[in-house]
Amino acid sequence: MSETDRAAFERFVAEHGDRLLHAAYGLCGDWQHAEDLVQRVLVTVARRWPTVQTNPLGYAYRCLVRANIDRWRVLRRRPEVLFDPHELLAHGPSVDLASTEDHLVVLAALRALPRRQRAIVVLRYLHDLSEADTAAALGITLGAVKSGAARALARLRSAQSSPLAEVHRER
Amino acid sequence: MNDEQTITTLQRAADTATRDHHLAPGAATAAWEAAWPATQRRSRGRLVAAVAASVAVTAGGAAAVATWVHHDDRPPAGGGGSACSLTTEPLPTWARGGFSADSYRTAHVMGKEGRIVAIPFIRLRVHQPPDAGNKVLWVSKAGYGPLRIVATLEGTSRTVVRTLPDGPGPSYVDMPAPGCWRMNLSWAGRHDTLGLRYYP
Repeated sequence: MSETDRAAFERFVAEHGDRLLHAAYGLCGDWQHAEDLVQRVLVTVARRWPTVQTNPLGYAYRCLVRANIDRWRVLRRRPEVLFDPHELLAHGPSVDLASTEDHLVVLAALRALPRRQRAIVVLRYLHDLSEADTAAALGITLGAVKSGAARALARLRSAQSSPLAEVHRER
Repeated sequence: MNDEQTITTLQRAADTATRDHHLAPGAATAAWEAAWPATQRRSRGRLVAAVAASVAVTAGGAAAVATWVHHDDRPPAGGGGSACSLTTEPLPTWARGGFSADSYRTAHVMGKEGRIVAIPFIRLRVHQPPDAGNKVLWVSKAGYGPLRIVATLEGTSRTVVRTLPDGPGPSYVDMPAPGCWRMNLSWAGRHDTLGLRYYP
């Protein structure tokens, strides 16, 4: 591989590395695992760089989803903490308390989503992938993305307007 | 609340939860070096197989890519022979997965029984800066299951217990005081002991 390829790869990582890390965290819910997932994915992308240069980010997202599924199989349904609420609370007084509680409610609802719906939400709405790219990353049909997204949003919306959420906000 | 408001709230929440986290510097270089080792880069066009960059670090299959950025302030090999001395002897073959040939001499501590290796990827400190962590890669010769560490500070009776539910593999292990911590390690019915030094 040429130094030009290497430089292009390093530019790609500089530009998108954080996005991939945050997506990995959204999928697996653990920063340490997220770092390891991204590192594995970057090696895979680097290895295939000559053939994926047209859309390396899309390929990286696909690898990320697959790597997380592999990890999940290894861990055998180990309980996950998705978007640890302490991440929000750790920001302390700089965060508006009311909005923080809204965030806690919606992140708790996201955590409770079925795995595929959660992945759809993370890629489609938190990482702005198109429906087609989300479908490609997850290896599912466009229709499955649309229906999964609709069901996920309904659940999130319902969680935000639930009496429990209201009580949580009033505390 | 409509879908648009829900999505906006979700995006803001996710931004807040992730905004202070960044990919480690050197990640791209490490990935490239793992994917295209120097020997293969020199023989461009003759690549016949991809490099095993993501490997099972134990027989049980905990995957880890040992391509983290290494620190450069380690004590020299030998280090006076303390139980907590790092060595730069070549890693045993069963612990080399994910390392390039250039990294086989990465500093590590071998278990007394030769069943496990601890590879610190940073100078271990009691008080790490907020952007760092006491990252240690544990590689076992065999066996996979939660790793229990019973650590005793050398010269004292102070003991702490740490459990790594994922077993040998990448981890963050903090200790409450500086010094040489002698660690009794148990995983999957196996045992070994080694020492890791934590700096202030």
